[in-house]
Amino acid sequence: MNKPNAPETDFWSHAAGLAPVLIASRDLPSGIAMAGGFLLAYASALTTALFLPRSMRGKLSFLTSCMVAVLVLTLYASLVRAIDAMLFEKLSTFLFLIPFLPPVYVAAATQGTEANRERAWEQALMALALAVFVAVFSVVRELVASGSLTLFGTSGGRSILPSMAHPAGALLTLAIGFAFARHIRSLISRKSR
Amino acid sequence: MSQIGLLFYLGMGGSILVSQGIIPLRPSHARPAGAVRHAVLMIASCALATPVYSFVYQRILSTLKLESLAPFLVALAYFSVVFLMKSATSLLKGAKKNGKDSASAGSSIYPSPPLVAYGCILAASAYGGSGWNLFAAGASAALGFLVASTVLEDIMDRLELEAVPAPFHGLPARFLSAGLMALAFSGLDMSLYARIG
Repeated sequence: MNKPNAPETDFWSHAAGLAPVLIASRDLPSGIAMAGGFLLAYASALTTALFLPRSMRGKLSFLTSCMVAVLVLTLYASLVRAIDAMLFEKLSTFLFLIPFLPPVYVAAATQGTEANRERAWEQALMALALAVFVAVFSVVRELVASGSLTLFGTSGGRSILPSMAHPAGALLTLAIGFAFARHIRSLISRKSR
Repeated sequence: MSQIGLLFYLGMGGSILVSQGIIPLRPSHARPAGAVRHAVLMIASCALATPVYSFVYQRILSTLKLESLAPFLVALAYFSVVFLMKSATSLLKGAKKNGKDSASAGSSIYPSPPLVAYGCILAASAYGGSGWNLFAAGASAALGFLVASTVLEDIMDRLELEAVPAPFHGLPARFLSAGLMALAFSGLDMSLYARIG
């Protein structure tokens, strides 16, 4: 029971850790708002963890980084509210979850060593890739669920699977996307041999 | 979709992340006995964080017109409670072990039940309402966590006997099973919520 499977690539592990954000990203505007929130929370947690004084390393550094991420996200939520109150109402439940997602936890737990500071751009790139993934994921979900993209004013599309708009749809899309990416990767590695 | 339903999904998803090692926990916490302990911790810390949050919100944030900082306050209450609980547990354990196994005791810097945050912060969206939302949030997240750690594990054990296509092995099969369970639960949730609401 609970036997961990073969370790997955970093990207997909982090993408799976974003499950609550993916559940909330039903359409492109939500996807963009959630991706922006994730980027900000991740960047603030990582920056705080990397540049805190040496005396604050360990649990205190982790706690401080998490709290900075929560504070930044609270401000970001106010910005979303000012831009689009309806969108904020729809997402507020999920926005405050972002600082508690595994990728942000991992960023907050980074030790502020010189080596980690030099490699920070790798983590920043990963965060950027994950944010793009959230936006693309929301586009796919919206297209499959409603057959159109609300942000671009297209309508009258043909819905393929309306249930993809439900939270369960996010888990199903994630599973299928994961399996598809794995299949493509195995095909490429087979060809290269 | 009700808030209770949402928390159920989050607890369920959280359990998958723990079982796959994406949420880093000590292996003993991912076992069924650990899952029950986790669920109890979720409810306990939500119940403890509730009065702290409600008191500070009413006496300080409302007075200073700083209601928008409520999520920050919830996180602070949650972390304080979890760290207090963790310190108390390690003190009690420390008295028994007396220094033995000290390396493993200090190995994790993550708060012991990170999933409690899901419940607490989700409930923060209802910060204008009753403080008991926090307790209900913890309870439903715990229920989802328990269901996933028991039912989903049985499904995964059963799937090991089937010819599952290679790309679906591991995490995809887990998410697929969870998605189908969530689909079934959403029907139940909607019908219950419609009757209650």
